[in-house]
Amino acid sequence: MEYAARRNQKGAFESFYKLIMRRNSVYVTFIIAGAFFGERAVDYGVHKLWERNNVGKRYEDISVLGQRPVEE
Amino acid sequence: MAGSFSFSILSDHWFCVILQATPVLSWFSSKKAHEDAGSSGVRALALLGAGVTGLLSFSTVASADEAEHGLESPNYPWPHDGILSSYDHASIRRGHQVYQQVCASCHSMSLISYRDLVGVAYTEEEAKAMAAEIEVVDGPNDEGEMFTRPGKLSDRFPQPYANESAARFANGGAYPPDLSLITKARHNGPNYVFALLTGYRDPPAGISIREGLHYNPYFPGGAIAMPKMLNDEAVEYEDGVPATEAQMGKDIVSFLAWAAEPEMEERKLMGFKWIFLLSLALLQAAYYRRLKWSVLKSRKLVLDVVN
Repeated sequence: MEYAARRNQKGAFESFYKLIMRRNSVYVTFIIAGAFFGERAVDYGVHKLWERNNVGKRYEDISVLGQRPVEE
Repeated sequence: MAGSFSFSILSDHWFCVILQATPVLSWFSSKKAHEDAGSSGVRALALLGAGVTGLLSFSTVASADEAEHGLESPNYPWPHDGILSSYDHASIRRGHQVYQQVCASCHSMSLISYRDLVGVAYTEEEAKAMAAEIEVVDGPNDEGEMFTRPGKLSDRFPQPYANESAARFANGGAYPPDLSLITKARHNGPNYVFALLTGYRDPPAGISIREGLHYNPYFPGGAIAMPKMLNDEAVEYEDGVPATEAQMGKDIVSFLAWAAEPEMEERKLMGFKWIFLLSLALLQAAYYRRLKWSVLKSRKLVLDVVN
């Protein structure tokens, strides 16, 4: 088994493993909390992208909002 | 563990990528995995090319027949085209104004309620005021009689005719269709409706249209019962936008597209978000699969036969 001996002691994956994956309880907590906050972050990011792409087209951007429409 | 991929895995890498993209060719991977990777890859590519050519040759057969389907409408650059594009809500508001003043005398939109407009084109107070302007027949009162009351947010848009027969009778036998879903009910809906509304012209030489019908090349058959309704300055927009024929056409189509698909914006947001997240999950799953399989893929089998 020549390949197994070469291990990177100070890589990013190794530190991540030592911090999160030593105990399963910590791992599971990380996954659940990560999913919750990660989804919030993705929602925020996608909304920001959406608003950047749709300048001036939103309901809030209607210039005559609040004035009763004039009936013919 | 991560460093223990064998060389045979790495040389097969591109070969496997091509094959995994085409499930039809999956039998290749089992039979030819031990053969020269180059020739099998070329063979896979050739089969893929043959498949694509076959698929493309079908496109010529499927082209539309103008006599049956009407003139093909051009593709206009709608503000809501694109995976992250919302409706132009100001255009929806103007389009509703056009509908109310130009179209509602003949076309119903019986699936839309006044409350649907709140937060899309009008404030709640505006929508309530608009609803209150119509009279609605309501259920039996304590004395058992039907009565009329001013409209509420929960009421549907008013119908111009009591039933289809009345509509046909008032329009020379032709029924003005309900517009609630018209952009989904017609092929290439938004483009078709815009082309139709702005496409009225004199019939070409040799074509005569009978009295009561009008020539429109985009309408299947060429003779439509509806006259040209969009004319410059027919409507005065509240926001001061000049009401040209094309502007009114664009706004009414924005309104009708929203009416048929009010969920579009939520759908696009949801689609973008989940396709993005699932792509990340795909990468994770692919890594995990290859990690677990690396043990088997890197094993060495020795045949030790004793005769």
